[in-house]
Order: sequence, then C-alpha cells, then structure tokens
Amino acid sequence: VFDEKVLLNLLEGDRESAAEIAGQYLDDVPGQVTRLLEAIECGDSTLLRERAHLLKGASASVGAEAMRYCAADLEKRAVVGSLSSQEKRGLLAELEHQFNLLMALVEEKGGLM
Amino acid sequence: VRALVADDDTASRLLLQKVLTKWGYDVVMASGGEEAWKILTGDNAPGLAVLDWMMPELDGVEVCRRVRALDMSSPPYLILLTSRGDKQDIATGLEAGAADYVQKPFDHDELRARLLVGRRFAELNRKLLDTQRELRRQALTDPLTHIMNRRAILMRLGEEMARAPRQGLPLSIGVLDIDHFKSVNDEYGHAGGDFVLQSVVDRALKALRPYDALGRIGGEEFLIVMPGVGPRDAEIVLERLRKIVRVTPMAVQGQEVTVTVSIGGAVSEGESMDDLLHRADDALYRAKGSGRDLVVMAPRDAEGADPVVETSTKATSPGGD
Repeated sequence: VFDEKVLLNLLEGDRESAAEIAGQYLDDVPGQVTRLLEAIECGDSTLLRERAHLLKGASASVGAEAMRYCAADLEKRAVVGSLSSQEKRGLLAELEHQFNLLMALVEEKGGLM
Repeated sequence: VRALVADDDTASRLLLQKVLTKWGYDVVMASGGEEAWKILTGDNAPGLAVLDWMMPELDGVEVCRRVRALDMSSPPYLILLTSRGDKQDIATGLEAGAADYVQKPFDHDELRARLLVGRRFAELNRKLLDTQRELRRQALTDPLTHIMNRRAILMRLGEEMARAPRQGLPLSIGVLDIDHFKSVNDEYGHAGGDFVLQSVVDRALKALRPYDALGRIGGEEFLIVMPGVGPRDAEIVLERLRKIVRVTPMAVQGQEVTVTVSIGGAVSEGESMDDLLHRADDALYRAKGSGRDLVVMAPRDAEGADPVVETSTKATSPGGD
C-alpha cells in the first residue's frame, strides 16, 4: 500500500521531511479522489484522464504504490474511451477500496511515516 | 544554481523542493505552466528547470516549445517529468526543446546525476557567453589606452549620425592629434610615448561629458564624438580639452613634460561619415599649419570654404617681419 523507502531514499534518510511530504499527500488525496470519483460518474473521459494522472503522479512521488497503480489503470481506461456503467461501478469500487486501505494504514500507524 | 520546479501536484513539488535544496540548489516553485513560463522569461531566470509533463493550461512540453522558440542566448536546461509507464513519446518532449527527462517515482542517484548534467551544461554555456563577451570587448577596445579602438569609435559615430537627425539634435566631432609625438618617442622611447598617450586620454576624459565618446583612431590620433553638441558649444568643449592637456604636465620617466594637442572640429551637416571626418581632418591640418596647440573648426556650409575660424587663445601679431 505504501512504500516508505521511496521517500526516505530520495531524502537521504531525512524522516522529518519525508513525514512532511507524506502529510501533504494525505491532505491532498481525499480531494483528488473525490474529484476523480466525480469524473468517473459524469463520464467525462478528458477530465477523468487529467484527474487520474494527477493522483498517479502524486502517489508515484511519495510511494503510495497501490494507489498509483489504481490511478494509472483509470488513466489508461480514460484514454481508451467511454465506460460502460458496469465498468464505472467496478472502477469506483476499486478506487474507494484503495483509498480506504490507505486511510486504514494511516489510522493504524498514526500517519504514513 | 537556481532551479525551477513546476508541478501541479503539491506533494511532488514539495518533495522536489526538499531534495533539490538538500543538493544545494536555490529552488523556485511554480504550480502550473503559465507561472513556470513567467519565471523562465523573467528577471534572474533559473538556469535549470524541472517541469511536469502534464499540467493544466500550459503543460511542460508546451513550456519547452515556447522557451525554444525564444532562441535565447543562454537557454535554461529543461528536464521533463513523466511517470514510469506513461505512453508519452519521450522524443516529442526532447524535440519540443527539453534537454532530458526523469520519471516518477524518482530514483535518488539518477535524479541527482541528471541534475548535475544540467548544471554542467549551464556552467559551460555561461563560460561560453563570458568568453564571447570578453572577445567582443577586446575587439572594440584599444589595449593601450582602454578606450574605444578605431573600429568601435567609427561604429559609434555611425550610430550617432543616424540618431541625431531622428532626434533633431546636433552632432559634432573632433579629431585630436598629439603635437610633436615623434620627438616624445625619440626622447623617451616607446614606453615614454605610451605613457604620454595614456596621460592624454586620462586628461581628455576629464574634459568630456559622460555621453561623449573618445576613441583612438591611429598612432597618436583620437576621435571625439559629441552627440547633442552644435556649433555654439563644439569649440568650447574642444578648447577645454586642448587646455586641460596643456596645463597638466606629465611625469615622463621622472621628468615633467608639457604635451600639447591640435584639434580639428566639425559640426555634422548631414553629410556622409567620410565627408564629416574629412572636414575635421582638414581643420586639424590647418591647426597644425597654424602653429599647433590649437582648435580649428571646419567652416560651416553657410560660411563657405574660407575663412577658417580660429579659436586659439594665442594672439596673432599682425604684420610681423
């Protein structure tokens, strides 16, 4: 779900900075996910692609691996074109699931780092 | 080294800021392409930029394209950010003007090394520009007196001759020659002669205004370009110059030597540069012929070719024997 080595390697073991960046990511992620869910629902593939890309980039930077793959998958689907309602339901569920997993981890550890 | 980080994602931006700061970069941030473009084209623009490929409004590739289209003399080193596995064609980014790309998630060693390449590039480019500037300066400067050389002062005269009628302002010139320079050289050697040349220049610069130009056009011959100066003031300025040289003796190899100069002045009447210089040369020739240590102004059109207007302070004895 979250690979803390990504941030720690890059920051040369500076745990404080890593925690600050992970905190920033956690501040941003609920909004990014919400906007992404909206994009899936309204079926605008351009919007979906942009928002998925943003979440993918953010997740990649901090090492939120599962979220990154989920967002990358959404971006790919958006490029292909419109989604059936069944596909939509599947994607919504997956995204919410990943978000919940991340939040559960945060609760358990009291933060990402 | 100043480095720009442009990314619409706050966490990625913060991460790059922290990492680059650790590596000694002076980081500037932008949250979008438009802001990045403004920073790259503004004052004190960074020499290195890390741009996210996908940003709303103006993406990284478009920023690269625009920067490239500017054809700057020292363009910033642009690194595009992509995510690993993105289908984007790297060639598109490089063709648009990016120098390199890196992928998210960042690899510590790779990011550091790629930034170093950019830094090296920026430094090489700066050295190249410095060298270019220095060579240009040398090509236009007289090495002995450090004023403009012949090429530079004639270029300046050309510029001023083009500017003067546009602005409706007068323009005057003076051709100055050191009197009996050959005997200075004979007596004190070339080192002494060089010293006299430098000393004359020092004094001349004191007599001139900041916007006048002085250049060495030959061995002991100088050209003075005086923008905005018309018939009323040209001889006043040139007289001041002649006097300041005369009244300030030079210590040439421990001996006080008084040097004098002759000056031929001319006020531009819209003729060609050659004609203007020719009139000033003629006036100088008359100054030499009339006993030296003199300013002679070339006759103006309205006055005809004669008589020569002498502005010497010397009394001319009538008749004689």
